[in-house]
Amino acid sequence: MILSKSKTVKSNIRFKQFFNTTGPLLGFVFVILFFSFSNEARPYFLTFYNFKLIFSQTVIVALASIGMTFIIISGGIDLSVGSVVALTSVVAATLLQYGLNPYTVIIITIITGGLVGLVNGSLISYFKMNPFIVTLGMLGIARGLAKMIADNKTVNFPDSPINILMQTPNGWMPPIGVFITLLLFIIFSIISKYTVLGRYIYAIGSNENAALLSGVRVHHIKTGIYSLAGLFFAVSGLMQMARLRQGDPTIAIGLELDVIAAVIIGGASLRGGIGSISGSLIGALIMATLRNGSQQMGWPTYFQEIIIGVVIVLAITIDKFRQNVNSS
Amino acid sequence: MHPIFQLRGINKSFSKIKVINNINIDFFSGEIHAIIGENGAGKSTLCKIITGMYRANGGEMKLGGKFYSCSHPKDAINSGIFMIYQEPNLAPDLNVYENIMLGYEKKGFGFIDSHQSKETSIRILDQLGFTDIDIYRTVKNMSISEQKIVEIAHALVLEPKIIILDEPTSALSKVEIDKLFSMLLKLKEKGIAILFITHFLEEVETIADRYSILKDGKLVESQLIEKFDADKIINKMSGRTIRFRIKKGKKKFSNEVLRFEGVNGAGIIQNVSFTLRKGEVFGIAGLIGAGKSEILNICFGLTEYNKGSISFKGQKISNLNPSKMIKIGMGYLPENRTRDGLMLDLNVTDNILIGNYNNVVNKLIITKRAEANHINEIINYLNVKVNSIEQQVCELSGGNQQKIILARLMNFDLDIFLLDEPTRGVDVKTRKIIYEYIKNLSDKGKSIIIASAYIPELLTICDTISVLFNGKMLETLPVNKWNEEKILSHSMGLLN
Repeated sequence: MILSKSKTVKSNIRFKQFFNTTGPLLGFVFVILFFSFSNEARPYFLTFYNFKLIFSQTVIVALASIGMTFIIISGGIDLSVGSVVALTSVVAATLLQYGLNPYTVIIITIITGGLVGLVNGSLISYFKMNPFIVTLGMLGIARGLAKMIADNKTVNFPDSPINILMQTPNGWMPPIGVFITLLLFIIFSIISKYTVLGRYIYAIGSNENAALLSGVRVHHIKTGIYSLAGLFFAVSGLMQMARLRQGDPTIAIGLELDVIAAVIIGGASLRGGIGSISGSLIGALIMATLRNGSQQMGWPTYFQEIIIGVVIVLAITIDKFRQNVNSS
Repeated sequence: MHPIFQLRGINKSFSKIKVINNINIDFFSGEIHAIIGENGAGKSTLCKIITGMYRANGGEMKLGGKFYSCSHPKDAINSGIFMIYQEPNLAPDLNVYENIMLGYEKKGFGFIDSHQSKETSIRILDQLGFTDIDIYRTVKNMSISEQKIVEIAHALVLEPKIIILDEPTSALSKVEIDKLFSMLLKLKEKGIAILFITHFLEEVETIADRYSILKDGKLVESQLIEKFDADKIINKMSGRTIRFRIKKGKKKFSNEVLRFEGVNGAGIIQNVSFTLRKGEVFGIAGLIGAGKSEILNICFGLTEYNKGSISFKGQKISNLNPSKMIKIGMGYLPENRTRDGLMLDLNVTDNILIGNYNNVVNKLIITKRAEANHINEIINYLNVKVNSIEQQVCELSGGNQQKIILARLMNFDLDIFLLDEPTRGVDVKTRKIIYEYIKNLSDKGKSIIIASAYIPELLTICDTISVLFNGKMLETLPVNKWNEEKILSHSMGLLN
């Protein structure tokens, strides 16, 4: 009797873990199958070239989603992503215009993103301000700064090696940016699961009070999370600039919503404490594939927007269902 | 006399595990019916079936002779069954009368008739004997016992036939319990049937007319209170006798580890001085609101103090904060484990290791095997019942959750343990394990401060007890100089 009891509970836990990790993946497979079965899309959709395209289209959202995943797991939110991407892309373009060495440009740009995150994080942790409001303010500030630096125009610069990041070489190779993204995902997935810092981020999101009382330096870590996310947004900004070959202060408006959607589709909970880096990568892929597939189907853009909206709501519904399974 | 409410052959299973097994109980109007049993005995599940949170798998319920079924908590309330949960379930930002009338507001022209709301609230509070409660006070600023009163008043608006109270006394001090009991007697006079869930057998003897014992989902017995025999009951609940007698050798304390000198702060603490020595178990007694938790909060750096000094092993320390205090060897068990203690979404392992992963980290990376070995060792020591060390702590019972926090403290290298109500809401068996845990710590030369509203507990486990009254420490004496009455009279400020 007791034996069978522990067995069912154990298999139940296994099932939950299985579902939590593979749920988003199943969604991704489903999306691919859906477009593969359609006669209109199949000839273009299921091609090597197209997947190369999907991967490079995923890069910008995917990189930002690493930072966003940590923020959301810790129970926070960042609405300034799009503006920070625009700001950093303009900063990088301007520096290139001045003729700075590309490595210096990369470093200064990434630091810029980190500083924006540091401001967000400090206000949120040390002054106990609401992350929604702080980053909403930063959304305006960073966008304004980008326009100010760029003098309200696009910033053009002479051809730079940085552009290689998003250049698509001939043949099967996707751009270098895709590999960088993949590498960062692997590194930060390990950090989130197998380091003390990673565990503390989950702990803070699950119960900040308890983490504080257990000696976790909650304020430092939270500030660090927003700063780290800022670094990722800057890398996204660099990719954005490399893709357009110019700095555009009006680019990436509303990008934060795509990034948050990717993280949520990837299984994270806005209440904090739940989510995974690998899930977010799949979330970002699902978003990019949906966009790409809809274009192949020849659906109008408004229809694409509706579909992506439906998928987000669906993801949250599944999450709710999963929580009910967990709690009963 | 016909029973107002009957349970006949109630069964409930969760994924093939029987948690309620063929239960028959009769409840009568105007009686207080205590339901006792350890954590996990099925008390809460049974109440959730009665109030419609769960559906029974079999059996029937009769309310006033008619078949009763409910599929939603609202149905239960409409049929006259109201449950009051262990944790306050009020709208914290609304005031007393708004909370009492919440959901039952009288409306005129679409607007709430606040005049009538106030009148009804005052009338109900009068009936309960609480004329001194200010109906304009915001609920979040009230003590837990006052919030309980508001909840009971809220329940009375619809004139229920049955009120279920889930461990109503677990956060209350002696005086407040007496107040609650006098209120229950008034409800009884009104002919309401009261289901009273508790861990405390002395409360059953004091207040109940009838009692039912549950064990492993089965009814052991349901009897009139005249048949009550506390010693045998413990046997029936747990299947073995538990004596709360902790053997203590005569201890001599010399090395001082912590000293408070004239500390003021937290808005209530005034001029508190005491010394904690190596191996000493130091109890802080007092009513709720006397400042017990506040002393621990100051000590752990959660609240600032503005006067006096605190020294640790002879050295004055300042700018206290939790991470600093843990580093120098002080740990804290919060009073409210779900709010301040546990990360409910996370698993057993992370809940224990938080704050110190040093034992399982190799070159910055956490190794699963080291984790499993380390955690299994700790949970075996504390006898924590888990299905897997990956199990989420929200699935554990209250007693096991409390053990998880004790396990976390064990995982640090601590010299001083601050325990705020360490046995709140845990069953008899866990209580004993916690007492043994404290004794073992003290034998190993660790020092412990316990804040507790439960006087017998302090008398059982402490070496020294100090009584707080309105933020002042009245007297600090070795445990053999105290008895229950003396602590109680000090707590109420009646010095003799």
